[in-house]
Amino acid sequence: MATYGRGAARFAVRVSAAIWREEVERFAVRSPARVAAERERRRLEDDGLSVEDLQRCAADGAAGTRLGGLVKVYVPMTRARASQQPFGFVLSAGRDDRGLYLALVAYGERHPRPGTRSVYERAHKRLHGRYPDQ
Amino acid sequence: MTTMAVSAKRLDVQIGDLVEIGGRRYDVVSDKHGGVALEPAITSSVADAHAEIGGRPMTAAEFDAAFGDLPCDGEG
Repeated sequence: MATYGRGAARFAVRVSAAIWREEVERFAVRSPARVAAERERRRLEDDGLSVEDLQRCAADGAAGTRLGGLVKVYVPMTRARASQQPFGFVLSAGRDDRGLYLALVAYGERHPRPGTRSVYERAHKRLHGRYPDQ
Repeated sequence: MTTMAVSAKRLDVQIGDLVEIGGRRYDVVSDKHGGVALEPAITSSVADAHAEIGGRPMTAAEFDAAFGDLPCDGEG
């Protein structure tokens, strides 16, 4: 897949077992966040993501996050308004011998309650090795 | 009214430390109000994710060519 730029604007999505465990399985089994991620996983891996599903992450985000070079999709992955999509996948684009792909790097709440880190802060730590306020 | 005798376990940890409680790992992070909080741990990097998959991250030029025109809502 991953032939964007040559007519088919879809990217394969690859999910590392370690990332899935740390990002999704941290939520309780029946929690809305975990149920939503597990519902979308098969779709991600079977169908990939269209470039039209994606947004660029902000190079200078609202909470001090610096996520230039990453992309995101809101969850549930529907055409609903963003306010009805409380979670997000953050992905890093890569290349292997099969072509271009998107690798999951973070999942979680876009606007969590105080005291909990957002999906953007978690992606920042995975990218830079520390949280934005550290 | 009854009183409870509570003895706290003193932990010698600081922000940035990794701790394990009940078999689960947590990062010790700032609670942004002068205290600390525990956040489910992040123990691998973006580069590690690509390595596990068997690929490499796109270069900045490759990313701009593929995604430079995508919208960005500034949220994060």
